[in-house]
Amino acid sequence: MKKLLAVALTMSLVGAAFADAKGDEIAHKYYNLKKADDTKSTAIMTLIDKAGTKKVRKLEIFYRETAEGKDAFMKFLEPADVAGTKFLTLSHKGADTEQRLYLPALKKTRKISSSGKDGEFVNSDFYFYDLEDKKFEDHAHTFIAENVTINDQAFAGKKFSKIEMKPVAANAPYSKEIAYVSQDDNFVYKLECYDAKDGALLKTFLFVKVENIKGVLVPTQTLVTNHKKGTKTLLALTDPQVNTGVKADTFSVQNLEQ
Amino acid sequence: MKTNKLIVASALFAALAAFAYAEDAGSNSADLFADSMADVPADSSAGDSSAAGAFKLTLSGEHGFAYHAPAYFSDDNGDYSGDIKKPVFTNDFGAEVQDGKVKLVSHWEFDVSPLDASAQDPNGNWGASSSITPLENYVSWSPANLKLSAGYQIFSWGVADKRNPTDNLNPRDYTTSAIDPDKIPVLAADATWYPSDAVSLEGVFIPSKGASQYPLDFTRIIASKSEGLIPSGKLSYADNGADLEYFVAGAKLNYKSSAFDLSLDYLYDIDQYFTPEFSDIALNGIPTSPTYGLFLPASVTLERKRVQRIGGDAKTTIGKFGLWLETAYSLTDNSGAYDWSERKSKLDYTLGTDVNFGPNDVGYVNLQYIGTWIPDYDYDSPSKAMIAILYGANASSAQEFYERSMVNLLGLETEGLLQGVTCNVKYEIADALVTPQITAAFLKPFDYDDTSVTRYGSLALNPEIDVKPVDSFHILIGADLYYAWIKEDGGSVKLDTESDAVGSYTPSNNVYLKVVYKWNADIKK
Repeated sequence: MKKLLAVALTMSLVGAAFADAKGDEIAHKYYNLKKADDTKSTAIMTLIDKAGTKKVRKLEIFYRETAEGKDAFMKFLEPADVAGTKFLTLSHKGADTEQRLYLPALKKTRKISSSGKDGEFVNSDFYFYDLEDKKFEDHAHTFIAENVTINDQAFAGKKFSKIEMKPVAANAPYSKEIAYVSQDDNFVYKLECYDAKDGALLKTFLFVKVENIKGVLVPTQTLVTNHKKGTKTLLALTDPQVNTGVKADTFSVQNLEQ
Repeated sequence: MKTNKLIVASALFAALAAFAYAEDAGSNSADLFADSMADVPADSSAGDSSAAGAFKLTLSGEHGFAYHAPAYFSDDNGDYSGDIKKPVFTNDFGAEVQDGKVKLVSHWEFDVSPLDASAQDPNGNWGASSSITPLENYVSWSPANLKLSAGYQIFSWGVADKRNPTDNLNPRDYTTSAIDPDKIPVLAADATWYPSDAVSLEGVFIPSKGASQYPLDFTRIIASKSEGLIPSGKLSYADNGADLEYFVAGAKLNYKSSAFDLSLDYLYDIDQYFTPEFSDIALNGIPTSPTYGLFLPASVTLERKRVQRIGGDAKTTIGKFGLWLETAYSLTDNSGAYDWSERKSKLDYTLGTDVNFGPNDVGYVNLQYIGTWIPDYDYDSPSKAMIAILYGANASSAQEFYERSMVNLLGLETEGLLQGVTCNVKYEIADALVTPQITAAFLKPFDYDDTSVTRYGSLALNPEIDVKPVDSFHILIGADLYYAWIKEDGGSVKLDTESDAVGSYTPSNNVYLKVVYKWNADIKK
């Protein structure tokens, strides 16, 4: 009987090890997808509250890849309340991502605390954390299932592998993330994020429309649902452009303060 | 019976699950985007998105109405007089043109105050109740690693919240607030060099820095403090117009890293407060006293003196907390303990922290410890020896009396050490539909002349509720409240509404309702 138990235990451990390896393999495929050197677009961010009331924000978004990671620069154009607000994310290898917010009314740049990243980005369902660059090493990956479907007509007929991603950083606002990785193109089309505070499902990211631009997969329509608040945020890129040679000084404090 | 319950529960669960599945399967997120984009103006999906791209014109406006109900009725203050309490329509219009790396900024303010005293005066005119004020009007050019700008500008130095010891480039408008006065745009040339991402060096030149605006008339203070010995006819302000004498120059070195930000600055500045200069003090006969005379100045000129400011600030984040220190040492031309012709040098400092709290960080709290220390502050009142000095010895002792009783007073320096705390707390409710907030500052004076009066401190309070039913439309309900408490010898504790820097705003205490709407529009090509 003891022998039987030992064999069962060993088999389950081996199974778990295989599952982790498979999770890593799927995650690797996602992280190894062709990346753009830079991207830029105008974006429409629509905030929908519990009652269905919509608020629209218009912004410009710029990204670039560097040896340190992904840098981002965003500038709000509308509405007037937030127009001129700028947001800069600079990745540093082996260190916390540096995030700064420029508030035009105060003419001041505010440094975002590294452990205050469960703050909402301009009242949207995006956390500052969500806007950070993520690397393979930032999560521990565990395989869950394959041939999974997403119950949304936008993903009809597509099959996904489901993996669990546990953030390594202690200050992450999520206890775990469940990613739905396409078995066709290895892109993550759905992400379920669980609250670090109580483990309950907090948010779902749906990458509703992903376009192939110059061989790079760019999510051009993203839907974020906050299950606890009952709110949604839609982010639509209206004119995404890839590898246009966005200038390096776009991602600088100088540009933030201009 | 137990089995039946189980069957009913199972059926109910199955039905709910089926309903949930049916709803889920029927959803199409793409429809949400189609609906959402249909609401967006056509031009929103076009245009250049580069940071310093092609030509872009941005027009903006902010329109508001403010009604202030008086909240302090002693001393005939139950009216709308004063810059703070008068009802006013405000209209700010702005245009920004960006053409490549060149930017032109022009903002103007048009205000109408129908209950302004001049408009109510039967002999006044309607035009006196309206005003056109130029705000920021400048042009900037940002070639590689440089930013050059010239024109009427507003600067923002320092990292602290509202109480910034290093932020002295713009004159202030104290007629509207004691704690957070508006900045008056100043004609300036500014150059900032960014040799690297982490370091920047800024230089500023202001050809002639104008005076701040105050609700107080300093000449009346002198007339009052001299007990009528110096009539207002002998008082005048020095020429504060376009005079190179009032030029200001400064430089600031900034270092920014992922761990902390640091700045050091120097400013060859002009004091924002006036210093009286007493000329030709001589013996004047008194008709009622054939043997004695008073030493009186022939005239008194109110001057703004040179001040050199050496400042610095540092900011970092520790966990969820922001932490900052900002300090400046203001060096006057005062030559020592027995020089009363100029105010003493002083140190201003602000140490603060802030943190977001609550679900999704919708709450925000900011706490600051603030202070001003004037080493060698002369807090021994000269009034005790007033008669002896004025009737007695000579012109120089009379000059000492005048200077010791008025130089510090006109700089609103009524204590050698001022300590205080400021606090700002706000909390967004229902996705920022309603945001209650409170801002408070409590200041306690030390090292002051307490022979006849005890000062308990002053409090400025601004509770406010911001209701935002739609984007860019705000309904603000709040109050501006100012108090300072003193106890005179033999008396009870009472409000000081005259001599305290905060307490002098008590007559302007009010409860307000403001409605504000903002808009902007981009035109690109």
